Amino acid sequence: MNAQVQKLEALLDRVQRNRRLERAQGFGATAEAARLDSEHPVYDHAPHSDSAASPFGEQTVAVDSTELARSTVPPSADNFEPSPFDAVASPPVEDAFDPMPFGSGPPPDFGPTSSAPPPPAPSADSLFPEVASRPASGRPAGVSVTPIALQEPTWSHGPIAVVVGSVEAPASSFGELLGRSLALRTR
Amino acid sequence: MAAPSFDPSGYFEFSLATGATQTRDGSRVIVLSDSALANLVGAAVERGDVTAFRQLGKQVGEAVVRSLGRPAAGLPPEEVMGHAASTLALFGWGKLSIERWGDALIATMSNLPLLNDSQLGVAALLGGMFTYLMGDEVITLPADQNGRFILVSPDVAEQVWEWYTNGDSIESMVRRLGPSARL
Repeated sequence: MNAQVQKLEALLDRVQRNRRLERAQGFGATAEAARLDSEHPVYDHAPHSDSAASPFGEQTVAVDSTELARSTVPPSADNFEPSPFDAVASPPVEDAFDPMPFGSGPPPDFGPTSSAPPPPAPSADSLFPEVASRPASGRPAGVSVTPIALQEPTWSHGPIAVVVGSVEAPASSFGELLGRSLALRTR
Repeated sequence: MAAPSFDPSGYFEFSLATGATQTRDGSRVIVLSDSALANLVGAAVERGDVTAFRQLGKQVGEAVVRSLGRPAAGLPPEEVMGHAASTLALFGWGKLSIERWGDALIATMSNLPLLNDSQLGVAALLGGMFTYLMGDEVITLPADQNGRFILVSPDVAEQVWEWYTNGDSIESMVRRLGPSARL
């Protein structure tokens, strides 16, 4: 009997800790959330799409792993029990996307793969200040696209000229450039 | 002043609550595997009707224009092509670059999804995109086996396609084209 009581107390304690974590991350406490809490303590529920964070870690279309990492709490030994969602590893924490000019910067990192090692779980001290400093407005928190930095310039060195028979004049606009191609007729 | 670069952050939004994925502009999209899409492309090419992919390209063109914030025709080529390349990359179509062969424009796609040997589906997609960007009908035809596509007017498209299917190289095709009288 005592063992059952202790087990129940431990379960309630975990639920309370989970809710504290959720509040710290800005998740709303809804009835649905409470239900999910009791069923899956680490389920990363989202009240609506603006703050939706996938609990599955990875999607077919990659998401911004930084935002995802901020919105999920990787389980650690001292605060969570495994859930059915633990089978999918959390993505590594990466630097936020810096929309660098085309042609500069390191090769793009297209995000986590299924073989990527799980990231180190952030401590509560490191996790909560980030959440607290997240801007209230701007793009929807939670899910956005994985960084895609074009590694090579599309056109940063100017038009690539492969001259066939004549030297083409420079074009000042896209319409002028494409217009010349559309104006070509058979000789 | 440097042109604003394409910002891909937050481009897609996933809602587990509603089961919908949409772009930041509110357009609903569906994530498909390339193998599933390859079947659709193959069926369309077999029927000789790739209109759906041209329409898809126009939607990509709309996304490019929304990203640019202004009509594309009057903007610098580098800016338009940069945003077009980024948008195509976001949708998973590969990497776009542009070459000028005389006055002819050649679009080069690398890392294309494996859809169809003839590349007619991708050609239709690019044609739709450039049509929307230009505000005038653009036909994009495969120009070689290395992911190059030539951008031409509908008036000469059939002739260029015939040259290509007869084995002409890009250089050969471009040499047989010249400016129209109105230029």
